Amino acid sequence: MMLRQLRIDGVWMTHIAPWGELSWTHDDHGCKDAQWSASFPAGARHPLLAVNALVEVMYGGACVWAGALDEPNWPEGRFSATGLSIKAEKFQARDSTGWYPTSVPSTAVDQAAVRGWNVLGRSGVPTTAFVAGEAPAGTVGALLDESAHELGQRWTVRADRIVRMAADPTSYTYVIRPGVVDFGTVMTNYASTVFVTRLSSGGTPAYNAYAVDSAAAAKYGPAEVELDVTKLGSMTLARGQQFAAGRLALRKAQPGWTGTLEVGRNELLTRGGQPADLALVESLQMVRMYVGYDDVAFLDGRTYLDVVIGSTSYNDGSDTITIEPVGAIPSKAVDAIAELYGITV
Amino acid sequence: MTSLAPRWVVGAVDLTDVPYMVPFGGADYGAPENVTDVIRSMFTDGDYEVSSKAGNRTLVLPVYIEDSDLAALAEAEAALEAECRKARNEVYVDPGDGFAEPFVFDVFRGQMSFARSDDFEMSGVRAYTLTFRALPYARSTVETTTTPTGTSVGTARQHSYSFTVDGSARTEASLHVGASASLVDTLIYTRPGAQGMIPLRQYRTGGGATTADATLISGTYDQNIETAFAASAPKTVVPDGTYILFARLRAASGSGTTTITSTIGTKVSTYLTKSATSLSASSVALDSNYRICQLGEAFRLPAAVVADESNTSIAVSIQDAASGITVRLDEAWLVEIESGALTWPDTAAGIVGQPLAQHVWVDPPSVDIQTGRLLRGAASDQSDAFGADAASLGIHYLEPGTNTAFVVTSGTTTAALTVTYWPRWHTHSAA
Repeated sequence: MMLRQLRIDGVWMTHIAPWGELSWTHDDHGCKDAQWSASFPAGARHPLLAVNALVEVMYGGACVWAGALDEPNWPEGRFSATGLSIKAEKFQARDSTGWYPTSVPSTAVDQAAVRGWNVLGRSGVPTTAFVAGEAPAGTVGALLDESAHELGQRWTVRADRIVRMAADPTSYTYVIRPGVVDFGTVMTNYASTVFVTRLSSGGTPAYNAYAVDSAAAAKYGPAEVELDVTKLGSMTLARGQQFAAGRLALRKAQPGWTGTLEVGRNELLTRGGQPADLALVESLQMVRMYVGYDDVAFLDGRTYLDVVIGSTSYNDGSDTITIEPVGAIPSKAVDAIAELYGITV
Repeated sequence: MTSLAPRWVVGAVDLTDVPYMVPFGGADYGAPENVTDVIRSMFTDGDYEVSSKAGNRTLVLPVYIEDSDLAALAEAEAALEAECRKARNEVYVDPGDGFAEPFVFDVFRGQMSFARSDDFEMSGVRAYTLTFRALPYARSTVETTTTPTGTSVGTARQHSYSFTVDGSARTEASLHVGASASLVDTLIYTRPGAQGMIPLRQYRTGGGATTADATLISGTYDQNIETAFAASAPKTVVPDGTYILFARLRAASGSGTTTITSTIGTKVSTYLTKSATSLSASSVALDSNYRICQLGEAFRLPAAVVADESNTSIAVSIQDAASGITVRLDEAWLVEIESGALTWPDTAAGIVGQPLAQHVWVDPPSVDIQTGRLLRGAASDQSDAFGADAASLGIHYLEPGTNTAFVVTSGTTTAALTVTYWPRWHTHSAA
């Protein structure tokens, strides 16, 4: 099996120094981190391996992971790179003046790119202001998190370095055979009803936006939460209901599994039954898992469960990959909300 | 019984020549260690074990030094240690019956240990043990160079090659593509086993109007791929694996950026096994010079497991979104990258004053040059060669037996491929 190559600011790592032990991870925001080791003489420093250099893991001519180089650990010869979605926390959401805060996600992305965020473009990022009126100061990452949650979507920066906002996939890319996974019910942050407290156009609190999942309530029991978005300014009923529905979509109870799952090449198959190429498996792809018959009743008569991959961890050249399901609510969003608006969820 | 006179030479020190000697029966060559992953399998009982790499081996050579006095023994020990201390070295072995081929272990810094005995000291003999960590496989003493004859596809600007490699273990290849004129766009591909780089114009099934042009790689171009270029390659020529799609494109006139969409479908008889996969649209900047573009992301072929390969075909379609520019397509290729290796050097253009490349050398990482090298130059003797950039860099490894290669050189029909490698063996060389 071929190994991947590594490129630092366009220069092949192979031409810089002997290197190896490459591994990389994805999370629900796209490329997360990559690590490798290289052999340099004691005391040597290489000018190309500078912080923030573009790092690309190349498979043939295709890039399968991209990010920015972290501070090298020269004494041990260990190097790591961080995905560009995490770098979004290091950019403030400002408009084309370069300093005035903006809550328009597309503007924040474009202007952060002008100021040095190493992304190549955007797709599906909203072009309307998230906060009516004066935008509070905050990071690009927090703004994208909040905007994505309003729509019930996720934002990612993957190997193609495009900032993408999209709903979770609805069709599966991979298949896992029965017997590999033991199921339970993931009830983290479960809610069957979300009530939204918003400011009406007149500036007074309004409570009539809410969303209910009665099927979940009947199955797992009712659980109600309140979401206070008054800090976002006046909001229409329609937008309030969109918030409620989006938050409900991310908090639904689901059968699944907790923790990590290690699958081998002959256990993770493409839809046509071919062994998957583990170097191509990323987060936010959907996996269909065929279940044992005992789980069929639990799944309302289905013999399978479709799960979206939340994170992957792969050692280059290995015949196994570790995957985790996408969580009910990404924990970073909770921090982002608290940081940005002081809203408790 | 034939008489046996084996020889071991560590660097410049012959261990079977005065004052050194190797006690009979003591040499231990170790063995390459398989690095194994154990995979839970679909078997009810038992696991599937996979090993795709071997770890280094350990050589143990006992050596006696015998001389007239202990001072001479100390000098001989110093000469031996000077060889052991080298960061890398070669242990040359001649099995010694006069028929077997000698072979070489590539070793790293050796460990010399000494066991003192009063009896030995009084006899003017000292006993040492040399322990070396070595690369897993032994190699022949002479590199093999082969210049396979290629079969051209379309025009002589692209050739498919097949050649046989000696040895009993995998080895890395140094490749040289040289011509008497500038190479311009160059793609160099190798793969153990079946050919994995498939030019698609020969399998074209549909599209718009075409024009013949012998200066192009395929000899023909599609005038406007707003009418999709469609090709259908039989599965018998498309081995299973992970693929990327390339196309050589230009703007008919002027320049601009356009979006190219591609779809890949797997067909059994005349029907699709799965809905055709649309690759991510590629935004390409084109002008009136042809250039090679990689389209979309990597994908697996075939899309579904098939029972009868002769009935199956891979359908490819490449289309330009209606844009301001008219896009011409010369050739398109499916390139298998899981087992195959692709090197795409930047030879299309030079810096002002720099000669265009007529030669490209691809050297893999080796014990001597651990970073590997990719060189381009105008002279065949490397006198003006320097490191080239590349859009894709492959480690070209060869398996014993049949290996294939594919070389594209858009600028010339005179390109030749030379493959150089060390035949590698488990322990003893058979050639």
